[in-house]
Amino acid sequence: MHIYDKLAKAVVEMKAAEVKLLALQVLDEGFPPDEAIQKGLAVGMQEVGRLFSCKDYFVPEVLVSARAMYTGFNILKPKVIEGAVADKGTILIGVVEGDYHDIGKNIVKLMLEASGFRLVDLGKNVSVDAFTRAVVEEKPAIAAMSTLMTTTMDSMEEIVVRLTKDAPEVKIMIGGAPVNQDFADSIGAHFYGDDVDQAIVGAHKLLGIKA
Amino acid sequence: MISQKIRKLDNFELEENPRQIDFREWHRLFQKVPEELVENTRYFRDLPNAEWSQYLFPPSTHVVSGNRLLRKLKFDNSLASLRLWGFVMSEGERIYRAKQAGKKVIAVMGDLGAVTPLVYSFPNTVAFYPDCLWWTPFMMESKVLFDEAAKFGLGEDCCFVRAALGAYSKKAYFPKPDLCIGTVGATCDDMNAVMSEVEFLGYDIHYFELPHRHDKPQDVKRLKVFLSGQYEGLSAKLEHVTGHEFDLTRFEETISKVNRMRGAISDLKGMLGGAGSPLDSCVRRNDGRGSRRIDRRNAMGGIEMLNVEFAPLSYYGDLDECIDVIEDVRDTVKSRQTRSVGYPDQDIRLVWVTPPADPQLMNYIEGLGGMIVGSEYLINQTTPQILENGDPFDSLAESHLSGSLMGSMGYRTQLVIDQIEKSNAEGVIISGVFGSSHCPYETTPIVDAVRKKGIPVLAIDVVAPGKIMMQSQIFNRMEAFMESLKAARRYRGG
Amino acid sequence: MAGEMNPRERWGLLLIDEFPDRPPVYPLVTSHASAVYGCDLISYCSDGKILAEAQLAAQRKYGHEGLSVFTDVGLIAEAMGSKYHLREFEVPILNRPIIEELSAIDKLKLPDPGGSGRLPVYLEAIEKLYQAKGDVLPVFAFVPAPFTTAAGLRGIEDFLVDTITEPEAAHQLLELSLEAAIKFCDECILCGALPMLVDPLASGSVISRRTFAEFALPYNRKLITHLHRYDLDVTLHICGETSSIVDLISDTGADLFSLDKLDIDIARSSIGDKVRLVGNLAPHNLMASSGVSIEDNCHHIIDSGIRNKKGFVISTGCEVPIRCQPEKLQKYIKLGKEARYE
Repeated sequence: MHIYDKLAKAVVEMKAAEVKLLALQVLDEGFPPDEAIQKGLAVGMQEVGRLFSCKDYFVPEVLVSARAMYTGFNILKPKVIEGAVADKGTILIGVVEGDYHDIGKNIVKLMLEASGFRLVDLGKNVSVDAFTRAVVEEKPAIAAMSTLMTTTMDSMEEIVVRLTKDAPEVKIMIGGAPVNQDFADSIGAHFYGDDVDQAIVGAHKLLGIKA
Repeated sequence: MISQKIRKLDNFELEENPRQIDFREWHRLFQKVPEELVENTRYFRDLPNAEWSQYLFPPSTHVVSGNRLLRKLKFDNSLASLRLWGFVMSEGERIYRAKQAGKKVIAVMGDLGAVTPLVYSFPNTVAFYPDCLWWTPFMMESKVLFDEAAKFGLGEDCCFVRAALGAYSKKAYFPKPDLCIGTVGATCDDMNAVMSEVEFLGYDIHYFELPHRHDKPQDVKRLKVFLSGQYEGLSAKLEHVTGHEFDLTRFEETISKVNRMRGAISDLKGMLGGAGSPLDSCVRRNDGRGSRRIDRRNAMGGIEMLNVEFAPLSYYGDLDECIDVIEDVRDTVKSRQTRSVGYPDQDIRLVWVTPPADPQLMNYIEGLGGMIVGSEYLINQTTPQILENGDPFDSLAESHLSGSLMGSMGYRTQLVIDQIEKSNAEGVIISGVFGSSHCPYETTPIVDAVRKKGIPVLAIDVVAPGKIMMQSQIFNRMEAFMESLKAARRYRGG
Repeated sequence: MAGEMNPRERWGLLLIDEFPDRPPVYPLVTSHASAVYGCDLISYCSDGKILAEAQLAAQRKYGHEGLSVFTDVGLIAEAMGSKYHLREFEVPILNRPIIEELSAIDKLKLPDPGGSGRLPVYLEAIEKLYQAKGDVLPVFAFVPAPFTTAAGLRGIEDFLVDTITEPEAAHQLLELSLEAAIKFCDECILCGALPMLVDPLASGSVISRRTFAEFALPYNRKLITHLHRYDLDVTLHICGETSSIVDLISDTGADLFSLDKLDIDIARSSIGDKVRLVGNLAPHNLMASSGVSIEDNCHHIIDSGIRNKKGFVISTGCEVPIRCQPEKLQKYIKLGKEARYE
């Protein structure tokens, strides 16, 4: 088995220690670190994403896989030459004001990164102002936001209103347990994703590129 | 699989000494009740797969369903008392479950125990006593049922039994009875008014007439013939409703059970009202190391006894279980008296006249040092033994005619005096019901007769739920009364 | 009107398998009560008197059939030492978990319901509501289930990771969370409320059936067994998607299941003969912005739920949004009250 496949497998199997050893081996044996990230770690995370989508994996498994992946990523990333990794576009992501549940957002972020997007993470409890300002400054292709709580859905609506005015070119996607297509339509978001898989498909679709 | 083997508690106790505890303490103490007991203490043991039939639960269970007064009451700490309370508080559900399980449900109104033995002698049939819903507004500290009765014109000028009308109207306290029996004649006038309204609501009522009060022996004979005829008519109605013919063997079995329960209640009353001099309120006991003075103290709470005494009105929907429940209480009291243990600081001997709809009052008097050694709850007719081998209807008639409700005012007064003498009572409390037809007539002559005997008497009207200021007046009067009894005892004792 | 039942009576009948007229209508009106009452959420979450007054104000306004004492799922974790941040217009959130290192578990102490965190706030609110309306309205105390509390003690991500990498520590934390929940439930009961377990994190949207079966279910079952010893009917609320675990709900012993994003038909066919269902209008339907009419959406829920063999409570899938549109909630409650058993 190729070392990249071993890396991918270790990520899928949630084995952080093994990922660490493999990453060191990658550097030892002179494999290009960016390729190891793309063909090893990222492929592993994509498989994790697939397992998550078909409900073989759930949040705990994804978190543990991600931690394993980051173990390798933190070893390999410093060795990568700038510009070697593909960039499908920038996505700005955050959990809206009032909500501190960021697991879903983190998973979506991880998977989008693994798919080749550049992610700017605003974190959780992001105010309408902060979110709008960041979009204006960063000029991302997509602004993505989520909430897990029904109580904070209206901040989403406020952000959409502001972005439509201040950054009309940005595409807006939303997700999270309490929202749905009906809600997305009603507030004027461009895309609603029910799960991480749809988020990836949606991001490609919004930018008119192939996955 | 529900075990049939646990029927009696055999004096198993959680705490060594009797005391009164509140619902918080019961909640915690309940954790110590063996799981097997909780699992196997069930009603309707004839239904083997009734997963809902457990009832050995503490008062907190019933607090959650809205019985707010339970938070203020003091309960006896015996398992027998826990079982009694669980059994009484589960009656509402039990009647619904009876109906769900295909049993015939018979409402016996205004009855005070007259027709219940006959009802239970029909197979798969249970009785309940709607009048007893007078307790519900007090237990829930709620005006809901009274407000509902008021919609039909029965307001504060009617006895608390008007709550039964509220319950009939709301259809949320018992299932639609297969038969309503309305006992009229020498019964509660207020309940008769309730029955008329119930009939207007569309319920079919079979009226059963109890003859007027009479004390002369020659009249009793004539009344017996009349009453026997009433039983015959009711029996025919029950045959029609239950689809079973009257069966003498079954009747005799039932009467024998009823007698067993009545016997247990008489034993209990006898034990609690037993001798004891009001002059020193102590008894001597020889324990082998010479005679020593032991305080004679209360061995069972007044409200537990109230529940026991009300059992023969409808057996709380399950005759077999009711017998065990009451015998457990009796055995507990017997064991306590053998061991000379009782509640601390309760030894002033009182007779209570007319049952209080608000059980808090009894607790209150006990908290002031009272022990209820005698009672006259208008239901003495439910304690005599029924003749077992005579003509069934004659036996029922004879038994019923020997009770207090059937006698004259003078007769009832004499019952109270008898109770005082038998139990050496130091004081009498009469808890009247405002608006009730019999109370204003009877309270005054009883008060006069008791005072003539030199026994202090306190006559109060039970205050409807929610009237807190009025209630504190009652509490004040109770405090003053108990103070005077204590002073009298000091004076007598020198 | 003569003959009309009150909510207490209607719930009482439901819980003994009687179906006289219609199901209770009990949307989960929690923090939204603060908006009705006109107070901020910091006072609502930290003052039992205000919480109670707000609940009464909301119940007077909407006429829904139960009072709900609930602020946030961190309640017990906070009482055990995790730091929560109270905010003026949003519900409290976890700031800093008490168990940052697993070695700290041994030092963890059970809460004192009379003094720890905001537990006394809850108890005061229950007491006041029960005193004010306990004869006609049931009072429900929403108690965070052990899985959710453990996550509040450890931090959500770390706890979820622990279930895979440190299962023994996770169980230890769950055991303590269970004990704390039992202790607190007992006090809620003594104040007159019926505990209702909320386990948002045990959602099928978050954890697998296997994780649920190993880490959530056994502790919910133990907690429910404790409450069943007192013959109480327990509602279990799990947020989000639960189709992967719905058949396990009856294994917890729950008497009522409050479902969120799950088709009520699925719940009905899976556990409807054993468990009463509570649900499940999606809360976003109650927002002013929702384009879907209440009528369109509640039709299926009410028509299906009312046929549930073991009984049904007309409710929302999760908490009513703080800033929901009152007219929409009123509409839903009105339609709910017009429903009739067949």
